[in-house]
Amino acid sequence: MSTPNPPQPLPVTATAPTADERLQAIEKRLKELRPEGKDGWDKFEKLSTLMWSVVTLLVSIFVTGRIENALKERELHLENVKDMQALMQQLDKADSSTAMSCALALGAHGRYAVAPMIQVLQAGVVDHREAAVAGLRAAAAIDEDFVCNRLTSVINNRTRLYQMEVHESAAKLLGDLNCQKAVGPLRNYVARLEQSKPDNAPFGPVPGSQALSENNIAAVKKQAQDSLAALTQQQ
Amino acid sequence: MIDMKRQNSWKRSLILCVASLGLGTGVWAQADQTCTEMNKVFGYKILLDDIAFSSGSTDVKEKELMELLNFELGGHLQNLDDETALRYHLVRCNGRVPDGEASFPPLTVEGLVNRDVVLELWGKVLAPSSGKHNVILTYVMLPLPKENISPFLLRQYQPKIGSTPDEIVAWLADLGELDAYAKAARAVRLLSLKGPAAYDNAKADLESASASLQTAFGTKPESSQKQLLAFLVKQKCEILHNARTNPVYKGPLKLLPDAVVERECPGGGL
Repeated sequence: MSTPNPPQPLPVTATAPTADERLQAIEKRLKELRPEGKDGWDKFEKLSTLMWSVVTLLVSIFVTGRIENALKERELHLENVKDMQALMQQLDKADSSTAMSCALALGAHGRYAVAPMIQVLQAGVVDHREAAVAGLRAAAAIDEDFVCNRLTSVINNRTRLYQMEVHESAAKLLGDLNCQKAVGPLRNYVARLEQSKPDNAPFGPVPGSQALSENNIAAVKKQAQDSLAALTQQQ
Repeated sequence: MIDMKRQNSWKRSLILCVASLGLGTGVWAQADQTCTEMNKVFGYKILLDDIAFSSGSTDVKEKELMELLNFELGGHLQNLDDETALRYHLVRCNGRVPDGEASFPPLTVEGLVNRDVVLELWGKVLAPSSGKHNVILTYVMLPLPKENISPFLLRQYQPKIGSTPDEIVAWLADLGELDAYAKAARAVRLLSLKGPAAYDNAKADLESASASLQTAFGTKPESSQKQLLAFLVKQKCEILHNARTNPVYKGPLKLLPDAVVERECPGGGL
């Protein structure tokens, strides 16, 4: 009877990896599995959330600011109108010296005084004309560009909306206030007046006069020419 | 106690009433200073400002007197034998009393001229002293050229009339000078507006004004009066000269004989 063979140890080559080896292998695999560096899109994706929040915040701040400004401006306008109402009522019936005080006080409201002053000129009360012109000068000291623009729109108007004295005063003030942007409009205005007759002039007759006369047109044209000369000399 | 309360309430009402009346009167007085009436009347205008009757008359009485003067003067002007287009219209400027030349800055003068105002007058009637009335009137003729002559003329009168304000009003309404000043101003206006087409009317106005004022100023006119008379003659002679030389003018003045022109304007008169 033969004895059974005892179990043979496995050859060395077939031995199981050691714990270190296995650990290294695992670490290697892990390294392979680890994602490589983030690309631009990944970064953008990450940042976009933050960016959108910031943009939304900025836009909302901007829009709110604009709305607030517009509301404040409207409130200011209303306050100015309320302030000016009493002065306007006083001016309406005032003699020339009181009218001058009222007009200067109104002029201190800057751009808000321009429309009322033009209306005072349009009403054609003889003793108030000097005051209205002074009021417009005072308004221009605060808001020159606005006053120049409004006066330019007066001389640009061809519908006879305004009477002759409003045009004459506007033409004079454009020169007095050194409204450089009015050079072109004044040049066109003078050219238009050279072709004008009483029935097609860009302004209406003075209240209380029988009709517009050649003398009226000549007076306005002279004023516009003087202002144009003053403005072009300064350039 | 109740009586006191009632009394206080009455007092308050009275004060309010007086204050309202005062304010109302102030507004009324102010309302007319601007003389917006001139913007509603078309044609040549004479502005009649306030003439203060200081001989103890109350505001109400003065207002009545001014209304009477306005009515009588208006009627007088309506009866003047003028063409309709040239006729003056009297415009009453209630509450308006200009402060001399200071009240007529260039823009105001231009505004009055633009509205066809030829004459504005205001003044006062002083209390009679030693039985004589003193009336001071200021006239502004528009648009007399300032560089040649002052458009302002102050006149003092001592009318030999009765003592009642109504008689003064009647005298004022009949004052021929007023028409003369208006004619002088209208002649200048017509010449400026119509040129040669107005030579005939302007000459007639100037002659009429000159004759009336020579009578009114008397034999010893003051320097301002002399100046005005000289201005009227000069204007007339300019018309006569221009009528003969201006080819546009075709009227009767062109045919005036030399002798007539020489008589009216010795040495050309210019």
